[in-house]
Amino acid sequence: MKIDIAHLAGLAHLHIDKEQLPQFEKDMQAIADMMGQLPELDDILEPDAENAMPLRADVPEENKFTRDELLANAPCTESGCFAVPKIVEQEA
Amino acid sequence: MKAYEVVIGLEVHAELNTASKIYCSCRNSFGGVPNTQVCPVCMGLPGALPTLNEAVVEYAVRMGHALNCQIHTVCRQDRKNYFYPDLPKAYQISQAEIPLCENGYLDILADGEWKRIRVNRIHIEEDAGKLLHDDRYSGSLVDLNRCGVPLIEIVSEPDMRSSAEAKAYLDAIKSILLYLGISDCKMQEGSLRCDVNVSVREKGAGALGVRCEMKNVNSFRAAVRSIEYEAKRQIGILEAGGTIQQETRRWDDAKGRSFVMRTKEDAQDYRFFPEPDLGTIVLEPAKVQALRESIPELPGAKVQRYQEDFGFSPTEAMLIAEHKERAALLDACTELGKCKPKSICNWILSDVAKYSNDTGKPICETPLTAEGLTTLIEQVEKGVISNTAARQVFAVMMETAQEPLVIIEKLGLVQNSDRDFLEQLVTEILADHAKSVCDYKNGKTNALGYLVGQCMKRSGGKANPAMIRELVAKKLHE
Repeated sequence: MKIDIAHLAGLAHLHIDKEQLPQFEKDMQAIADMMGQLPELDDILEPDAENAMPLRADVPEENKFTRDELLANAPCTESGCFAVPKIVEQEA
Repeated sequence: MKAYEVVIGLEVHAELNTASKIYCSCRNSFGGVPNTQVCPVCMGLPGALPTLNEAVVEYAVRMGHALNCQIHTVCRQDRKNYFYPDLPKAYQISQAEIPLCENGYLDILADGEWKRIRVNRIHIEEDAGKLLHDDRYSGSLVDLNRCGVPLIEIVSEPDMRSSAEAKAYLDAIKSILLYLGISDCKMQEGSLRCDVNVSVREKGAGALGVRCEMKNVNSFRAAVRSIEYEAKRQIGILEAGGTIQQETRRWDDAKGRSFVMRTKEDAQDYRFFPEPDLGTIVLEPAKVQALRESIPELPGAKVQRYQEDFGFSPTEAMLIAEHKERAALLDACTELGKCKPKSICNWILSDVAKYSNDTGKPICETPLTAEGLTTLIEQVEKGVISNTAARQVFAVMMETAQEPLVIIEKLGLVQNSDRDFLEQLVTEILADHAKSVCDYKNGKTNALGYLVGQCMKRSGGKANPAMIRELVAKKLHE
């Protein structure tokens, strides 16, 4: 399967220079090949009890960042919110 | 028209009232200034990694025990992928293959009959953010404070057959969540939400009909209305010779109708896969057992106890038991053993409930104590004060937090049960109301009540009403 990086970049709103495309294509292909092996692993869906994770105590912590810092990278903000095109669920 | 049967399954989402969020240490609280209870983890910033909150697992397991579920001591979380602006990671961490709790049941009381509703599963997941719409702004605004608020999703089997059963199930779930203290269940704040699955089939048919799922059901009343609307809609289609399409519909409570959001063809593929950023959830059996032992007596068990031990009707028992505070008050009162449980029940369901509703104060925020209430009821049962006087005392108790005996003394409400005095009073009243006496003798039996009322009035409400009634009746028949 050929991966169309330019198309994916467009969907993901990412800007990728033309000369970078072959490298991305190669890297993405390697990822896709690795993922392609997953169906061969039949025990992948079994949870691994050996890999138990420690749970976090339920203690809230104060924010380390201000709202302005957290919103700094948003392309568009309004009244302390992320601003996006109007989303309304309507009759199909 | 053929006879149809409605088949209902419910998915209830309850926000858990933990102190922090499910995968980060942000505060879990409602109503903060937009985007002030967020961090790189719940905002889904690149490189941020989730850590699972222990309390979320414990709360979910407790709910699992309360609903008689099997607890999976080894399970994991999965990614549910979809795009929506309130979901910054573009996936929700949830549980797909193996939920924490599975194969339970809940017994509900609907129309006076017990019915067992099977619970398919309970799993943990994170809530999404909120879209705000402001008239001054043409787009949508995204507030991520709710991202990462812990949820449990409780999925029933399609075992309900009427909107009344669905309502009873929802009431029971809400009551249990409150008894366990794991969710504040404020529907107006969205902390309890449900999706409703409805299908219809001809009565007696084996296979289930094609179901439609209704979203945006924001109150139990809306659930009832949406079920009734949907059943009618589907029966209408079948009666007209049509077939039901599997679809997701959105309930519009203001309009009282639902409309199609998605048909089966464009159903979303969530591409579930094991969450790679989290390890396996492994619970020690001792911990699961300790959580089981932490479950208090639940409303279903209370209803049965109230019926068996105290002779309450199923409705009375349920009205007390499903209300944690009322049940706590009743239990504390009956423990004191000063008066009849039935009298306590009547007081709680009338005056106490009314006071609580009128003032908007939960019982615990009023001066009412089990000691005070039972002392008051005891005075009525002993005939010291009348029921009417007791109501007056109750009102003063709630206002001033004084002891009932002090109030009775102060207001001079001790009932007069002196037979000679009462006979004299009745003789006077009958003499003063010769016309009513005459009416009674001519068959107008309601004149009796009028005459009793006049006696009570002249005594300043202090005459023993049962004795007055008996004396008036006796004298009228002389």
